[in-house]
Amino acid sequence: MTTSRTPRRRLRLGAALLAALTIGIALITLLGLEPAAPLPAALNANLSTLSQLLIQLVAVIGAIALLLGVLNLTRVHAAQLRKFPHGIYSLILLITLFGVVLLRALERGGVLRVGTGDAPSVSLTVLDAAQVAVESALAGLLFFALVYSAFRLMRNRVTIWNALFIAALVIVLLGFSPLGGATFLPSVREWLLNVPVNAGTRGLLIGIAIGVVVVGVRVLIGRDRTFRE
Amino acid sequence: MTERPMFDDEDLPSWLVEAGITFAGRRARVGASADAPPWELPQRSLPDLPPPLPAPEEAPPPWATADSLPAAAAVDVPLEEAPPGFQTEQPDWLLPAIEGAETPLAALELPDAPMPWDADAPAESGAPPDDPFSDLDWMTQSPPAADQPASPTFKTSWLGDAMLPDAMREAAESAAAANLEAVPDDWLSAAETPSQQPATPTFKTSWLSEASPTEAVPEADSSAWDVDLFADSAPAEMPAAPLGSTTTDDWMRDFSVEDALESDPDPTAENSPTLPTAPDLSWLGDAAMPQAAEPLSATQSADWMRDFSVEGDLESAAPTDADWLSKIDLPTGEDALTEVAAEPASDLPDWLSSGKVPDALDDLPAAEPADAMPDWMSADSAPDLSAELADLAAELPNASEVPDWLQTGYLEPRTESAPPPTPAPDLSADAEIPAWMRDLAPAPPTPSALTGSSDIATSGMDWLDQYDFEASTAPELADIPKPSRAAPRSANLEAGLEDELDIDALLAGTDVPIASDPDLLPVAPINLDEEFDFDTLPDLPPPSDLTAHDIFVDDVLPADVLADLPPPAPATPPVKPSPPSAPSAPVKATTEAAAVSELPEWVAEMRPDSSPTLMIGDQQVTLEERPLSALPEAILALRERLKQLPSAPPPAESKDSQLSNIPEALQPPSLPITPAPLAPSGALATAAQLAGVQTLRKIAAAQESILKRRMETEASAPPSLKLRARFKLDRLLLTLLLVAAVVLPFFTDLDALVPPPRHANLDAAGQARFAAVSRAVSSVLDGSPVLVAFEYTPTAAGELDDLARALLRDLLQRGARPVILSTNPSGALHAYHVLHQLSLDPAEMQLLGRSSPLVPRRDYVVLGYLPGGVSGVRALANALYDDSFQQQVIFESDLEGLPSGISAQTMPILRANPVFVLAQSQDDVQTWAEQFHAPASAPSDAPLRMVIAAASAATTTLQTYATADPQRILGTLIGLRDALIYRDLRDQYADAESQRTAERRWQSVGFTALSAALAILLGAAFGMIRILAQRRRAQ
Repeated sequence: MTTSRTPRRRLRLGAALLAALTIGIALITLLGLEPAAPLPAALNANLSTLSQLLIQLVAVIGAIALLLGVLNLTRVHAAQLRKFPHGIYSLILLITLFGVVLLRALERGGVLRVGTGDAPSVSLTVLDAAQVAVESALAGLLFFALVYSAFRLMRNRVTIWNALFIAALVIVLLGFSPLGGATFLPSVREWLLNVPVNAGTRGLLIGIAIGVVVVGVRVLIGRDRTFRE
Repeated sequence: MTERPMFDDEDLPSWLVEAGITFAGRRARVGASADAPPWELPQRSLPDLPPPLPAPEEAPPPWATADSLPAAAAVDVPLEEAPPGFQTEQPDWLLPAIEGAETPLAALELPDAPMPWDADAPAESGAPPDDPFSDLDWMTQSPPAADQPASPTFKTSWLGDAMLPDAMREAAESAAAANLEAVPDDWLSAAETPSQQPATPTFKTSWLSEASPTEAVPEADSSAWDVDLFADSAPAEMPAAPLGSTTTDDWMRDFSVEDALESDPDPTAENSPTLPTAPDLSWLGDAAMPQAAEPLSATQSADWMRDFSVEGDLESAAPTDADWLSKIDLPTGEDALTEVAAEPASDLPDWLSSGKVPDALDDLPAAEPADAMPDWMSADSAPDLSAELADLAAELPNASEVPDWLQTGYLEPRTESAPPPTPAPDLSADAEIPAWMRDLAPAPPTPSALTGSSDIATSGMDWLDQYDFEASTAPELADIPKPSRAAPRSANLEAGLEDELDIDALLAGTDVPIASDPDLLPVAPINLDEEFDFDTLPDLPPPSDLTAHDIFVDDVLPADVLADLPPPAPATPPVKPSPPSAPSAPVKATTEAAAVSELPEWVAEMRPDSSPTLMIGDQQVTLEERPLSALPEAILALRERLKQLPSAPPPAESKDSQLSNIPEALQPPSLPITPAPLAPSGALATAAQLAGVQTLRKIAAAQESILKRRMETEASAPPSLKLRARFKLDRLLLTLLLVAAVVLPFFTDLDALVPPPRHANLDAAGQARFAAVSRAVSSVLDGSPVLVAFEYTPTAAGELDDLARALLRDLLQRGARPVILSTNPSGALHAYHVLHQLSLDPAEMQLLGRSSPLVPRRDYVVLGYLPGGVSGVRALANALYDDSFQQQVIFESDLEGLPSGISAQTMPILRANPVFVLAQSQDDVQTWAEQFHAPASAPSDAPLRMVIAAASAATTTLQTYATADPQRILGTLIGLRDALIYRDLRDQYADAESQRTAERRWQSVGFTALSAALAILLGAAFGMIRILAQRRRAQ
C-alpha cells in the first residue's frame, strides 16, 4: 500500500542563503525601529544604528535604481527606433531626454543663462510649459470623462448601488460649492466624510496594515516566495 | 473437460441414441472410466448399429445411392485454386470414401435444438449489439466451451507415454520404421492402390509408426479394423493414436473431412494477398465432432476421430501443417484393425474391398519416436465427447439455426437451395487494376477439381448448399446490427448503401443531419477525435438521394433563397448494385491490413520514402503514415463496407491531365449529385435544433449586414474622417455645459450663486483646523529653516499650488527658510519652479515685504530628490537625529548639486519646526504619517510634528490620521477652498484684484462642480425614465 506524499521541493543553496539574509536584515530592522525592552540598551542602540544604516542603503540604492531606470528606458526606446511607424514616439522621447540633459548641462555650465538670479530659469520654464501644462490638461479632461460616465451610469441599468453612488456624488459636489451659501449640503457633506467615509478609510488602512504584517511575518519565517526561490 | 448438457438425450437423433451416444451414457462412461486408460476400457458393444452394408461390388452403400447424392457439386474447386492441401489431384479411390462419409449426415433429420453457440451468443453475453463483428470476436476469442484450452500448439510427444502401452512404445522407439512397414503391409497388401497416388509432400504420418500396435495386434488385418471402424460409433473407447493427424490444418481438422471438403473455408485464401491466414475455426472442433460419430469408412478417419478418441482434448490443439490429407489418413489403430477385420467386405469401399491400398501409404515417413507425440495425447484422463459430438452433429446441418457470424462472416446462408449464379466479374473494374495488383488479387473462385469431379456433393450435403463459401467477409446490410437509436430507417436504405456512394457524401450526410421531422430523435454530435462506432451512424439515404439540397443547400442558403430555387427533379430509382469487380476475401479488415504489410519487397519499394507533407501557409505539416492495423476496428469495418460498394465509373480522362498517358494512374473520384426532392429520410434534427439554427443564421446575417454597412460607410467617407470617433450628441452637450460652467464665472458675477469661501462661514471644527495650522506656522522660529515636502506632481499642480504658495508665503513672511524636498523627482523640480515663479512676481515680493526676489540656497533651499519612497521618508527622519552619512546625502547639496548650507547644527531646528507636507494622494499622506517618526533612540519628548496639506482626493485619509494622532499632525489643509480661506485668514492678498481673481477661480470650480452635479442628476433621471418606459412597453 502506497501513501501519497507531498513531493519535496529541492533546497537550493542560493535560496537558503537569500532567505537567511532576508530574515536577518528584517529582524535587525525591526529591532532597530522598535527596540525590545528585554535586550540591553547598548544592543538596542547598536541595532538602531545598524537599522538606520540599512535604511540609508535602501535610499542610496533607490537613487541608483533611478539611474538604471533612465538607462534602461534609453536602451529600450533606442531599440524601438527600428520600427518606424511606432518608433517615432521613441524618437521623440529620446530627443526630449537628451535635450533636457543638454539644456541642463549648458545651464549648469553657465553657457545658457536667462534672467537674473541663480535659478535655472530655462529648465524650470521648460518644465512648467511642458510637463505641468500637459499633466494639468490631462487631469482636466479626466473631469469631463468622469462626469459623462456618471451621466450615463443609469442609462442601461438602474440598481440600488448605482443610485447610492449617484446620490453620494451629487451630495459631495453640491456640498463642495453650496448654492447660495446654504449650509445644509455642506453639513451633509462633512458628515459623510467624517463618519461613513472615515470609517471605510480606517477599515482600508487596517486591512493594509494587517497585510503588511502578514507579509513581514512570512519574510521573517522564510515563507515568502520572493526570497525562497 | 466440463460436462455441458446442451440438451436432453431425447433430442438426439435416433441413430445416435441407438448407438448409445447420449449424454447420460457419456457421463456414465466417464464416471466408470475416469481412472482407467482408454485402451483398458472394455469395448462397448454396439448391438444397435445398422446392419452391415453390402460390399461395393454387390451393391453401393446406401449413402452412395443416387437419391442421397447432391445434384451438383457445390464445392467444385479447381485444383490450382485449392489450398495446398488440396493441390493434388485426388485419386478415384479416395472419392468413394469421402462420399461415404457424407451419407449419414445427409440422411439425418436433426431437431431444432438450440445451437451451442447460440447459448454463448454475444447478444446474450453482453456483447455490444451494434458491433457487427462482435459475434466474430467472441467466436475467435472465447470458444463456445469455456473449458477449451486456448493453446494452439500441437504436441504429439505425449502420445506414446500416455496412450500406448509400454510394449507398444518400446516397439515404436526401437523399430518404428520396420513396424510401420510391416503393419500396413498386411492390409496394404490386400488393398488395391490406385494408379494415381495423392501427392504427400506434407503428409506427416509419423504418428502411424508411433501408434501402430504392431505388437499388441500383430494379427490384425485390414478387414478386421475396417469392420470395427464402422462398428465403432462410440469412439470414446478407441485409442486415438492411430487416427490422429498432426499435420492437418486447424479448420480442416475442426470441420472434419466432410466439412472441410464441402465448406472450403477459403479456396483463395492462400493466394490472396489479403488472406494470409485461414480463419481461426479451431473451436469448431466440437461442432464438427458429431459427424465423426457416424459410421465412417476407413479412409475418412480424419483427425476428428483422433479428437474423438481422446475425448475432446484435441479441441485445444492446433494443427502444425496444412496438409488436409492427413485428416483422411487410413486408420492403423489396434481397435480399428480389429473391427475392420470383423466388418463384412460388403461394407467396405470398393478400393478397400479389392484389397488395394493406395501407394501413397508406401511413402509414409518413418515412424517417429514415441516421445515426439503431442502432449494432448498424453492426457491422463481423456474425457468423452461423444455426447457433445452427437449434439453438435444434430445441430450443424440445421441451416435455420446458423448463427449470425456464419451468415455475415465466413458462411453466407442462401435462401434457395440451388447455388446462386456466380456474379460475373466486372471486367471494366478489373481492367483498371494494374497488372501487379491483378497478380496479387485473389483469383475468382472456381469449382474445386477435387470436389467438383467427385460425387461427394451429392451425398447428402444439401445443407451445405445453404452456405456460400465464396461470399465476402463483409457482412450484408441486413446482418449489420441496427443502431440502438430509434432512428427511422430509410425505405431505400439498403439500395442506397449498395449504390454508388462516395465517402465524402457519406460523411457529409452524417455530419450534417437534415431535419424535417421534429419527432425524430436528435443526433449526437460526432467527434472524430474519439473512437466512434461507425455502425451506429444514422441510416443514410442512398447516394441518388444525397442531393445538393440534402448536403449543402439547406445549410448554406437562407430560406428565402431556398424557396426561389427551382423544384428539384424527381428522385431517380435506386440503381441495383453491380457485382463487385473482384471477389473480396472473407477475412476481417485487420487481416487485410496485415496482408498489406506483407506485400512483396518490390511493391514496398514503390512506396514513397518520405511521409506526405502539407504546406499550410508558411507552416509545414508532415503527415505520419500509420498502418491499417493500427486503425480502430470500427474504421476498418467502415472501410470494408465502403470497399464493397461499387466504385463510380471513371470520368473521362482529360488529355490535358498530367496523368493522361499513364494507364495505371488512379483517376480522381467523382461525386454525381443529381437534383432530387428533399427526402425526409435523412431528417435527424429536432424542432428545437432547427430553431437554434435559424437563430444562428439570423445572427450571422445581421452581423454580416452590419459589417457590410460599416465597410460601405468607411469606403464612402473621406480619408480624413475614417478615424474619427463616433459622434455623440449628449457627450458634446455635456462638454459644452461644463466648459461654460468653467468659463462663465470669469465673465460674470456668480457671488450670489457660488459665494467665495470665508473663514467666518466655517463651522467651529473648520475654524479650529485653520487655527491649528496658523499656530504651527507661527511656531516656526524667525529665520530658521523649515522642511517643506512637495509630494505632488504637476498633475495636481492646479489644486495644490495655491496651498503651497499660501504656506510658503506665510513661512517666508515669518522669516523662515523653506528647505524643500520630495520623494518624487518631478515634485522637487516643480517646487523649484513654484518658488522661482513666486520670487519673480513683484506683487508677491511686495506682499512678502521684500524688494528683491528670492535667492536659492539663501532664502530657500530645494534639496535633491529623496529616493527610496517609504524608506526615504524614514531615512529623512533618522537623518534629523543622527549625524551620519545619510544626513550628508540628504542635506549637503541642493537640487543643482550646490551646497545647501544645511549643517548638523541645523538639524535640531529642523526637528523643532513642524514639517509642512503637501500630499497629492492617500499614499503620500499614509507614508508621511506613518514613517516620519523620531527614531527609538530619540527622546520621546520631542516628536516630529507636521502639517499636512493634501488634495481633495486624500481628504478622508488625512482626516483619519489627523484624528488618530493630533499631537504629531498639527493641522490639515485640503484643496483650493482651504487655500483661499487660509489666504484670507492670513491676509495674503496683495490687492483686491488678486483676491477677486482668486475668488473667481473658486467660483469657476464651484460652479463647474454644481453643473456636473446637475448634469449627473439629469442623466440619472433620463436613464430611469427610459428604463421605466421600456418596462412599461414590455408589460
